Parts: sequence; structure tokens; C-alpha cells
Amino acid sequence: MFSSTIKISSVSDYIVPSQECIKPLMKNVKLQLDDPSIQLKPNLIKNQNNVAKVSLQDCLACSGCVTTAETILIQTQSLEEFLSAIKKYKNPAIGISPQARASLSYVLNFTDVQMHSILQQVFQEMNVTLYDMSEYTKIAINNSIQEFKQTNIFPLLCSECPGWVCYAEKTLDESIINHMSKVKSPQQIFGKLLKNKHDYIATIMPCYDKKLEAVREENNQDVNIVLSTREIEQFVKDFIQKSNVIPQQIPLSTLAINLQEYHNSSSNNYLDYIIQSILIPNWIVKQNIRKNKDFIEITIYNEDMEQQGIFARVFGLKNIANLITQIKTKTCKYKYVEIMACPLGCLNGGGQIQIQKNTEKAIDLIPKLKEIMTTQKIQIDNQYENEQEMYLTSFKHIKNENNFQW
Amino acid sequence: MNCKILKGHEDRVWQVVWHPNGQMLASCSSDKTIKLWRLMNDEYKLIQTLDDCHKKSIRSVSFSKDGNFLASGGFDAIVGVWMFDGSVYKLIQQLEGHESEVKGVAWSADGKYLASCGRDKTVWIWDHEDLEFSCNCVLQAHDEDVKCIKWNNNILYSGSYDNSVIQYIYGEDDEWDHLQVQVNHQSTIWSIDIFNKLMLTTSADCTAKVFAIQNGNLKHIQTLQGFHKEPIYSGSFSYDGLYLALASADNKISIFKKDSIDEFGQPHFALEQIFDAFEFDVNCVAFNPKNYLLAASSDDLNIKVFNLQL
Repeated sequence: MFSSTIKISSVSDYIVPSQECIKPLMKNVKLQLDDPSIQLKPNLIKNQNNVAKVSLQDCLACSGCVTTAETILIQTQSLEEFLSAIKKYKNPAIGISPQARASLSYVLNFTDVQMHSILQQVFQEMNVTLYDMSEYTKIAINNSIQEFKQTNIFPLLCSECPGWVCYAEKTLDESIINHMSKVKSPQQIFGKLLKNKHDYIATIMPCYDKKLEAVREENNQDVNIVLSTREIEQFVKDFIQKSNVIPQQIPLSTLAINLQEYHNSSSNNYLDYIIQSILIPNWIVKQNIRKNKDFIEITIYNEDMEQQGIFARVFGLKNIANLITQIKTKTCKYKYVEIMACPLGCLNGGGQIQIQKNTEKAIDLIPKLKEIMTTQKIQIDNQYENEQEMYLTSFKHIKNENNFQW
Repeated sequence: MNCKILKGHEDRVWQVVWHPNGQMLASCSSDKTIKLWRLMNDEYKLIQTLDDCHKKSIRSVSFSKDGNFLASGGFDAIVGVWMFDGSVYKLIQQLEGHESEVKGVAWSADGKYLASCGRDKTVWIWDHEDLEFSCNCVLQAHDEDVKCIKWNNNILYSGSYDNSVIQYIYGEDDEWDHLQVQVNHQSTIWSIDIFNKLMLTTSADCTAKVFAIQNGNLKHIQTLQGFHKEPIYSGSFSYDGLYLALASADNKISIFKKDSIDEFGQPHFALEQIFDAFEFDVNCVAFNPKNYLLAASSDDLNIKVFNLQL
């Protein structure tokens, strides 16, 4: 039966897993191999010492070395790992994203301000300084506005979402990658800036893919570990039960703008701020729902109702796929697109706490989380500032690279 | 047994499917082509080779119920859509979105939806307006590679390397709701076929199972085991539900015939015959929608059509 062993000649028939994702993990793999709980699928592509004998069924059935790497990555960036690491460092820090905090606040039934003060106490106890990442988000936004004002590439595609970035790098060609914003994400700006003050940096994010972002080579391990909201839920609950925490009223700021219907605080509002930066008094903003609520078109008109630009907010893979089709067929008319891989945006991120309250649906939950994010907050001055420094990143185009070694 | 051999493909033939009129076959292969064969005077004539869409193996092919459309899924992560213009099939769109190899494509009964599935663990549902296809939904309910998809009217089923079958129903809130249905296979689900309210699943655990679809759940009727020594890649019910056929990596095809009805009114199948059909793995079997012709395809580059009524 010749099909029981895959022929070398047919190797190029499969899409090559992205080595870039695996690379930073190789050192971790060795470390984890002793742990029997981790099942490694045959990773023959990487193994040059063995004679390659993969059954076709294995090969077709395998969901890819990348996935295995991702699984290992998630296991090496765990709460246990964080708890043991902070003991080894003098001055560790942790940043929480507003979306992650809203999820915790909702589940533990606190206001967002109370929740932040409780988390401060939780981490203080462990000698870890807690930061609100909103301030760093503002830098990313200002960088993005600056980039938008200087670019001649349209549409400019927001690249904060690591799910979208991974997808784009793996499946799309250079013509799309070139449209991606070069601005570092708030997480990486946070890591880069705090590296001077702290020797170990963690973040709490609504998203598992942020772990992948942190280990990207160009990010230089600025962020050492990423924990998802879900991963710290039980830990925070236990702490509250064991210790006598007193929720406090502390000043906390928000980047959410709730004035107009087109604003959307589920993700980090890049689009709102970019639009705001080019608006002139008396100009009019109109919102149009395309196909579904996760594909929103926002058009700006001047006082004479002349169109001054169309923008879009695109959440979820299906809408991304349709946007890409538009770009490829050159029918895309947007100047800037805020793209997030999760339907409903980051508040509905894969790392958020799963809600079991009356089997509440995400679509009903998200408005509540938005409410939590904005109440009792000081509005961050949302005037655009010309940032002195641009924090830039890079992307790879790995779709057609042939990485097979055998 | 009366058997016709269709030669032409230059690499393994992954799938062979009948046109709904029963007069044409479409086959897809690792040679990156789809071939269309017309049945004329008891002979199969190659009438068209579609080679302008995929850059890698074509893993799956599907006719829409009216035969006007053909879809293909390839290892290049592309889903191709072809339209019949009265004489030939022409490529009208290449749907991009899958992250890696596409393993299955299938049209819904009303032609409204096209579904595709693949190694990226997802099922994509595409809809169309004025011949323009766009993505309706991306479903990420499986933990592993999704091997096969099958529509039952407008309900979709998918089978996976994670050993499970998931059912998708278009809900009132404009979302596709998913639910895992119990099949209890011990390995990869390689194929799903449906006839009336019967479902046939085949698996790498070397068994095939027959279920009754009852109010959205599956009720196990029969497990066909001990007949094949290798994974069963494909299964097909005959047009009248009287027969079912299985195709296996052991190079054999087995035919089962309905031989009794149980106390709940459900049919049971008994082995009619099992035979060496090809020199290598049998990847696919497909019963003709009008008669007892059984088409099958193999790694040995051949397609064979067996006439079960001699």
C-alpha cells in the first residue's frame, strides 16, 4: 500500500506550518517533554535525525505542528509559572487590560474601580506592582493616528489583534500584509516602557493569542508572561475569600467614548480616535451596518454633505474573510479598518471568563461589560498628542515559504 | 461483477461524486485536476478536465442539487466554485479564508449554502447573492482537523479527527448553533452519509455505524465491525436505502443489504459481499442517485464503477 507512507515528492502538497511561531518555543519544548500530561504529536518536520516515515493518515489527521506549539506555549505561560517566577525577581509588574478587568468585575460582582483596587491588594501581597494598561493603549492610539496621517497605504489595517495577525501571516499574501499598521500593540508598548523599571513583566489579557504575540522574536521578551482573564479568575476568587480585602474608590481612567453610536469600546477604540482626529466641527459621521453588526461602515461628511472618507470596524473571521475579498478585488473603499478576530471584539475574547449565569449569550453580555468599563471612570484626555516616539513592529509573510527540511 | 475502469488521473483520486441526474461523475485528485465523466451507452467518457483553480491536491468535490454548480476544496486552502454554462463548467470564484488544507465541500439541499471544512479545525459556511459568494459564518466547534461535512436539508453535520460529529442548525438569532451528537467512534470520523432519517458514519476505528436521526439526536442502530482491517474512509447509501457500501484502506469494498426491520421500525444491514476492489487504498464510494451503480476511487489512480445488478 503506497499510501501508508507519504512520499517525499508529495510533501509540498501540504501547507507548511509557520515556523516563525514554533521557533521561540523550541527551547521550551525540551523542558516540557518530561511532563507526561503533554501529548506531543509526531513533529517530523522538525526532526531531521529520524528517517521521515509519516503515515499519510497521520499527516492528514494532524492539525499541525503549529497547534502543538501553541498548546505547549499556553502551558508554559500559566498561572503556576507566573507564581513561581515572581519569587525569583526583585521587582515584578503586571498590567491588566480594561477588557479583562471588566470580565472579572462582572463575574465577581464589583464595580470596575473596586475590582482594580482589589487586584492592587492581591498583587501587592505578592510584591507585584499592578498597572492599568489604558495609559499605554493611549500611546498605541496616538501612534496609530500619527501613522494614519502620514501613510499613503489605504486601507490601513489595525494590527493590534494577534489572532488576526497570525491568520494574516499564515494565509494572506504580501499585498495584504503591507496594509497592516506597524504600530506595536498596547501590550508590547507596556512591556517595552516598563522594562526599565521592572525586571519581570506580566499582563492579564482577554485573549490567548496575546501569549503568541509576547514570544514573537521582534518583541524581545519585553513581556515575560501573558495570563488570560480566565486563568486568574479562581486565584482572585480564592484570595478574596481568604483575605480581608476592602474595595476602595480609586481614580481610574477609561479610553471609552460613549457619546456617539458609532463608538465601540469592546476593543481599544482605534477607529473612534482616528476618526476624531480628522473631524472638523460641523462635520457629520454616519454609521452603516453591512451584513451584520460586526461589520460596521462609518462615513464622514463635511458640512455640505460631501463624503470625506469611509472607515470600517470588522470583527470576526467571517467578516475578515469578506473584507479581504474586497481588498483583493480592489473594491475596498475604506481608509482605516479596525480588525479584531473575535466576534463582538475583545470583550468577547477567547480568554475571557465563560459566563454561565442563566446561559447568558455573548450578545447580551457585551453591553453590560461595556457599561462596567465606562462607569465611575475619569475620561482620559482624548486629545491627540503628537507622540515623540513611534513604537513599531514588523510582520512576516510566511504563506509560501517552504520550510521542509527533508 | 460488471465493472468499468476510468483511467486518466495521474495521482491518487480522493473523491468521486455523481451528478444529481446520475449521468455524470466528477472526480478530484492529487494531480490538481477535477475530471468530469459522462455516462453514454454504458461507457464513461472524459468530457472535461478542470485544472485552472487549485495549486495543490484537490481533496473534495460536490455538485449542487440542481447540478448547476460544482464546488471543490484543495490542499491550497482554496474553495473553488464552478458554474455550468450549458455545455461546460466554468470557474466563477475562488473562496479564500481557510488557514490550511480544505478537506471537504458540500452544498445544502436548497443550494443556498456551501460548506467547507478543513485542517484548520473550522467549518465555513458561504452564501451567495447574484453569483457573488461571501462568507456567512466560521464555525470553530471541533478540537481537531475536520474531515468531512454532510448536509441533511439545512442541517449540517461535520466529522473530525477529534472523533466527534457536530451538528449545526441555523438558529432564530441568525447564528449557527452547534451541538455534539454522540457517535462513540474510537478514532477519526472519515465520512458521513445520510439517507432519509438514517446516518452512516465511517471511522479510522475500522467500524461503520448506522444511526437514526430523531429530533436532532442520533439513535444508534447498528455497528458494522470486523469486516475491514483498516480505516474505513467512505460510506454511501444506495438511492433507495436498500444497500450501503463501505470503502477502506485495506483495498476492499464491502456491500451491505437491508435484511430486517427491528421492533422500532429501524432497518438492519447484513453483509452482501466484500471484495478486493483496487490495488491500494479505496478513498471513496458513491452510489448513483438513480440506480445501483457504485463509483469508487483509489490511490492506485483509478476510478471504478461497479454495477451491482448484473
